[in-house]
Amino acid sequence: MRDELTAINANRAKSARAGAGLGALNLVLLLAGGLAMAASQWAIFVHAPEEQVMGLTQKLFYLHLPLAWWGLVSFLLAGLAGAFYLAKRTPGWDALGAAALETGLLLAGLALFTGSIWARTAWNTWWTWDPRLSTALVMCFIYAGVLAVRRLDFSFERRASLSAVLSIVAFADVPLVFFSARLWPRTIHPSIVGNGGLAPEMLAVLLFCLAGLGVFWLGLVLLRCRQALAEQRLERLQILNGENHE
Amino acid sequence: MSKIDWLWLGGAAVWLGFGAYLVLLARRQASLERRLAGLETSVRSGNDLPAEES
Repeated sequence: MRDELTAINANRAKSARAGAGLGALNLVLLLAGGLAMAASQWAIFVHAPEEQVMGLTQKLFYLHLPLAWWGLVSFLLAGLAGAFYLAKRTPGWDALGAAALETGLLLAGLALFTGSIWARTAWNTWWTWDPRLSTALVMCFIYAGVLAVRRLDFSFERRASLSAVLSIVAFADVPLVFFSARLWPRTIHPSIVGNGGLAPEMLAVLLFCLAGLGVFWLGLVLLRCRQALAEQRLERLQILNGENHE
Repeated sequence: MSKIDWLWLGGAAVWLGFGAYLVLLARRQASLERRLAGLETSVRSGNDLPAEES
């Protein structure tokens, strides 16, 4: 017990120094990402050309696609963090996995919402059981389930291991979502990648939106990761203090 | 609603979504720091250590 307390005290100063550095980086990323996203809005409204068939509605694409892609990257990160946690058993990987899961679900949820608005204006329906939409919805439910498992009252090791395994297994749905537009040719969802269907001005705006959201996403993941590490410290202190019942 | 209104709605939803998540994180962080400060103080002072080890 004394050794544990000494270790906690020794690590506290080190963590505080590292935390201050990470906090500054975090703030810079979030501010830069926020500004880039604001600039993206300007680019969407002013710079992006109007598509001939769908008109202004098509501009929702510049919001929708970066949200969806960074959401998928988050789930990839969650799966990788899960694999590294199982291999190394380092709590930091669990914190990163938790951060990626939560951020991914937020982004995927917003992608579904913006997609739904797009569907309402383009196809006159809020929702259709298209393969891309269905697999994306199932993916959101799966990851919401993984997050729910993380809230269960298990010991840290058990919860982290379970979450790691589930994050890896859940990732099986992600390629299905990504490739659904190619796997099921009858989908109403367009396949963007590799088809060369975007005008250069549209591509420039899309890349700018992707980069802006990417910086903001990184800031969010880092912020949530630091918080997850603090939650782990709290749990450890609770055990030392005899508050934890497991 | 006109097409530009739908576009505004999409943009607003994204900003509101991120804003709400950041507010949630800030509230969670405030609660976490309060609990951590209380626990770290009590563990450091040794007042709450189990009897057989203190």
